[in-house]
Amino acid sequence: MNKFTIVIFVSTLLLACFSCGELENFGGAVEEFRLFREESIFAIDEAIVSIENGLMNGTDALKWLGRQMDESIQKILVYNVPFILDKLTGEAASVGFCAADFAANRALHYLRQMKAELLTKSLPAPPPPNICQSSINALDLNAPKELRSIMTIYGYDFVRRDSFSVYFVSNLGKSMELQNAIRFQNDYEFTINLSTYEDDTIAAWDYVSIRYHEEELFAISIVQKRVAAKLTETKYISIPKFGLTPPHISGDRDFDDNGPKVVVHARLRHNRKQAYVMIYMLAEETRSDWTRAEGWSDPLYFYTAPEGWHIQRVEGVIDFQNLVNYTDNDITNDFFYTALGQAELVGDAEGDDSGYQTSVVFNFSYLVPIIIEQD
Amino acid sequence: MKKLIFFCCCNIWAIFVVYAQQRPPKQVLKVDPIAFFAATAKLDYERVLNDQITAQIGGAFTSQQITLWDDLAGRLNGYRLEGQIRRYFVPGMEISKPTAPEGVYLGVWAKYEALRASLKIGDDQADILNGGAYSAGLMGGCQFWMRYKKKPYALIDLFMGGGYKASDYAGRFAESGKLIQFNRSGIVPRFGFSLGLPFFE
Repeated sequence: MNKFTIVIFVSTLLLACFSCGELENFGGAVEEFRLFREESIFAIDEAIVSIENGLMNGTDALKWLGRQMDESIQKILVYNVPFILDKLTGEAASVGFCAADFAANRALHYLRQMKAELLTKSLPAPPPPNICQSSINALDLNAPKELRSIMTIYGYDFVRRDSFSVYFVSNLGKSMELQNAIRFQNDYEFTINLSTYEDDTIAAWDYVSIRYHEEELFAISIVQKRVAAKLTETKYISIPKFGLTPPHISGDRDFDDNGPKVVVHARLRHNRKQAYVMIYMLAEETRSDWTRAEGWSDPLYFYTAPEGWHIQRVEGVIDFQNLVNYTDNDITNDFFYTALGQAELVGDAEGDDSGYQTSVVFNFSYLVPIIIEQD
Repeated sequence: MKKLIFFCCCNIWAIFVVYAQQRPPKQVLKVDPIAFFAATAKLDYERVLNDQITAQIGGAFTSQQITLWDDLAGRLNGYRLEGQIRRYFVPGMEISKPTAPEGVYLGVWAKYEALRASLKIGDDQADILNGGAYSAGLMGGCQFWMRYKKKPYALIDLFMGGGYKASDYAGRFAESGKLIQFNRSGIVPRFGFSLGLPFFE
């Protein structure tokens, strides 16, 4: 064997030693175990991400993981793939309405338990309950009460029942707890009884909040009662003929060709059901003993709103000041055309006037516009 | 310090060489210089049984710092025991007496290794990988003396081969994780290089 051959042989062998890592290195086993660990944890993580992103359903992800994961790991884990698949199949049969949602969430939980077994020994907390459906989508106060007073809630993991609570909540953040409203049928179903609450109470809130450890799990909105727009109508009402003899106030009752100075006002008013008119008259002697007659009439009710309606307002002018304002210089009747109609006035007459003959009579031509509204 | 160790090694080497040249060497001590790069000390002893057959036993030991996952630094301790029987195709250098042969050889080997990788967390120690592995197989190689003025002073042993390895480890994925059996078995290649010196009787 010449030296060149030896050099080539030695070099090749050394190169092979280095490239293959066969340096009598103990670390090879550790490196292999490190890769084994990474592959196993990566497979679990990938299964979790696939479920979270909806790429695979829970069962498929577990089956995939079962093919990826080394048997030696499956053997030592309590939450191994066959165990989880069996448990999932059994539980899914009880869940009913929420089967699809349940499978994904439960598979995620079991996968996290599997990872925890491998990495921390301590298992994650049991999953919180999940609500996936309610017997009514919204609490509609327009619906008959018997159809909405009991709500059935479907989900799973309703194990810690004393941790559930129900509230009426307003959008402003106020809330009111509903005492003794929940009744559990099993771990997958419970009802909320609202029959003890009046509609007026419920209407003060915006939604029903179902909470677990004071964290909201599910909310059902409250649909308020519809309020119909109120009907209104305008009525044009005529006022019947109406007069006033103002009471005597002072003096000798006889104007005795001294005036009188006469002033007439009128008012249109209403209460909830009726509209009425009032007339005011003042007649005052212009000298001597200043005989005076003055006063308001009693109300003349000229309109009553029909049953189921009320008067909202009297449209237009309701105070008529100085409809008549003059000095009567003779003893004949005087006629005036005012905004309300014709007014016939007696100021001074033969004999005693104040409290006897001095008067005003309206022959109304004004049609009073009255707005009435349905109750 | 390193210089002192190197100086001592050279002196010991010289003593061995001087004695070996006085008597025909039929025992050889070998070290694996490449194993030092892997923080491993490996020592083999080869003894001539006749002019074509030798037996070799050896051992290796390591204690090194390793990086596990998440940049966790751990410590790896391990040892290995090995036995070989070799048959050389060229008789020994001195025909009259059995002496350390050289040239091409074939051999069988068997070895056992044990290792323990652990993490130190505060004052606690957590085993990450612990166990042992058996392996056995065939090998072939070439061993030859380097001579100065026809006197042997060092031996070079190069070999390659393969065998069947069955390991039985137990490990965990984290310091508080569950213990997992990590058994692996299969064919493994083998390459080696040793530097030997004659060992006087």
